[in-house]
Amino acid sequence: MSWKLEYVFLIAASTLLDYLCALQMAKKQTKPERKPYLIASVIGNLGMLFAFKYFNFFSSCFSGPVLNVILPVGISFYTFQTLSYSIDVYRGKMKPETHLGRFALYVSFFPQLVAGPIERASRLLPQFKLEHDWNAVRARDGLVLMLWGLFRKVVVADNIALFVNSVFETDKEFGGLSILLAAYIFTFQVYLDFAAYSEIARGAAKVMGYDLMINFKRPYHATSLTDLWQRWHISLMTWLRDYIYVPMTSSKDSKWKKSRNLLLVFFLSGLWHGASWTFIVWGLLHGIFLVIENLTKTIRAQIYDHFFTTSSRLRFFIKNTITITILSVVGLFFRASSLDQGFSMLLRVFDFTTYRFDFGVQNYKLLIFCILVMALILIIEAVEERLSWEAMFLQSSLVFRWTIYSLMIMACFAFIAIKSQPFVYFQF
Amino acid sequence: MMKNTITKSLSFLLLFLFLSFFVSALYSNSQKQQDHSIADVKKLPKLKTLIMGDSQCLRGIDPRVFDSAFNYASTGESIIVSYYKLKDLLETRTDIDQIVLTSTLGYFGESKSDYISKPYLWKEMIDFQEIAQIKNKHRLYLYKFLKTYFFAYKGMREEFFERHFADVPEEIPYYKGFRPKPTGYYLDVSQIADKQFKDKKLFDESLLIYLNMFLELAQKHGIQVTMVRMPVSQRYHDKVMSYITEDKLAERCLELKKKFADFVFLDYLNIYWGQEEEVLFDDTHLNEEAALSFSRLLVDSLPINHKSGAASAFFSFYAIKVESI
Repeated sequence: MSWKLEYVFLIAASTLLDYLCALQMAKKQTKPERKPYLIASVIGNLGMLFAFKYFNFFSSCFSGPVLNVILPVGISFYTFQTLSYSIDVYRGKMKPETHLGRFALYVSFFPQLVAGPIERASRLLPQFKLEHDWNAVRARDGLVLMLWGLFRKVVVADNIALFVNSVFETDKEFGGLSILLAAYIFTFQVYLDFAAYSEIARGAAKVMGYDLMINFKRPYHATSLTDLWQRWHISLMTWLRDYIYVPMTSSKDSKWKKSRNLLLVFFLSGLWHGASWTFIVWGLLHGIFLVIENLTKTIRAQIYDHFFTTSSRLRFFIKNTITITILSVVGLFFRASSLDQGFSMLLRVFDFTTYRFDFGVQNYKLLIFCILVMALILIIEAVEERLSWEAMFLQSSLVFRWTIYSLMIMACFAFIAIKSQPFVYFQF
Repeated sequence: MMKNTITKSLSFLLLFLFLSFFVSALYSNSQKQQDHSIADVKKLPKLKTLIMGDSQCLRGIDPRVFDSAFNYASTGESIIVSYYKLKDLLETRTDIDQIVLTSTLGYFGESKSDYISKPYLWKEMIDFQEIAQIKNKHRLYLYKFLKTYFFAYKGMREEFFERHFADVPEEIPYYKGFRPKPTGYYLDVSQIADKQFKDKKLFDESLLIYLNMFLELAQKHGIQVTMVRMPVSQRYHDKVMSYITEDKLAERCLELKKKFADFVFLDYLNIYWGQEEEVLFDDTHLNEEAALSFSRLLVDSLPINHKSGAASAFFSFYAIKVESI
């Protein structure tokens, strides 16, 4: 992902296209009359996305020509955002925005332009119409969110990445145990990295008086894959659900048709993340596991009910461990530089004869750090499932809160990487 | 409302700076305790030869071949830091009669111009205000001052994690300031030449001002200064020369000789070309064995010969544990 001045024209073109298409759709009474404008919007946005993100991938699959382009900043996010607007206007769910400046602000709103959350026009546009006076409490809340995001990114995610990088860059030297640990830690790194960006974006918007949607809801406490995808990258998953899965699926459909649609959605989710076979396999594997989970729902419930009560902590632990393990092991493909690397690492995870303590003396300290911070964050989130840290924290004394803020800022200074470490989702 | 917000913000800033100053001081002191050289150089019963410079000096000159010497070099040290360290030391020591000051390719170059490595170690010695005035860079040195006193811990992650990714043993034996690098490696670090020399000047005039100040200070205290250009690999040299057209250090040193008659310049830049694998730890640092033989060569070439009785003996630092003076 990169930035060139010319790419302003791309975002401007996408903005103008959807702005005009929506205005035209509003003039038409029926869906068939609105359809040509919707098609124009879809072709325009997806065409742009295809040209800059996917053309080289598909072309190289057929040994075709390659375009000399780099992925424009935020293109996957703002094209989906504008598409959702056009589709909502087409469906008659919202009226078009007549003010071009306001609509352009919706498309290019800086806190979430680069890596989301993918906001819906029905949520964000009305907020732009309100007047926002200075509000110290809101600004403080926004800054605290930004600080928490920065802390999770700089202090935790970037440092646990050191262990992950060392394993993935020289994976041939490692056995299954190190790879499994690296897979768990990598998925946690992606979660913290992306959740941190979303918090910084939400915080920055909040300081200015705008509310962005929550993108992650403690996904490490999910007890099934279905539960997981309702907690992880919520803005993308709800987008795929509302604009792809739901229109294709009705409650009367057979479970096989629903499964096919689910597979398609996760295939597209993989493709959205990147134009590479590794992402496609990552998406498809998640789709397959979700289909299996749906098809075995009844029998699994019976087994759990036979051994555990509904409120059993062991039941939660087993279900949670299975979910996170699937997420992490499939995540190998998300991080792998090629399919070969992904499959080779996956095979070693299941080859228990390769299991040994081979992460090297230099990685021990990092590994202990990773385990400690992961445990700490998971405990914090576990408590948060029951009560609000935020409320408790805000009730504490001012000196205590300020000391904690100061220590968090100092930790960011202390642990900041010398080389810049961009957010993982900036590449999408 | 707004007044209240501003008051609260300023109060928070004060609390933050107070805590940050405290943590910074704690971190600086913990680092100083790990680095014995400042305390040790002042405790020495006798000191005739002071060895100063950057990591090439720290790793490359063995004080045990001298009679009463101390290697007071530090990694990344520039002539600015060397000057203030010398100034501080001469306030208490009067027995030094010669200084070996090492110079490397780029030691007076633009990349070193405003670089102060680990300033928190030398913060009591460095006069930030004076540097700012000499260089006419007041904002930059105010920033460096604040960073040194309030944010010394910035980037400590490197100490905490990244050192553990080194390919070679990291525990470095310590003897009279000398920290040799092990024998048996020849790491390719020639790409650092890009950072040091690409689009950069070979001589920064403000650093030459500090060299003058250094020599004046030494002259005032009756100390003879020898500048030693340390050996590097041919591939590193060639890479550097692809960026700079002329190497005029010797010429500049001859100019200095007009003002400081007893100033000596010894150039060992290319003495190990062709045998890099045996003598170098990486492109710019000697290994332990070579440091010993190089120091023996050097001690015989200096204008004041303070050769120790042990100069011809064999000793290996990697065979012994950390040793204090």
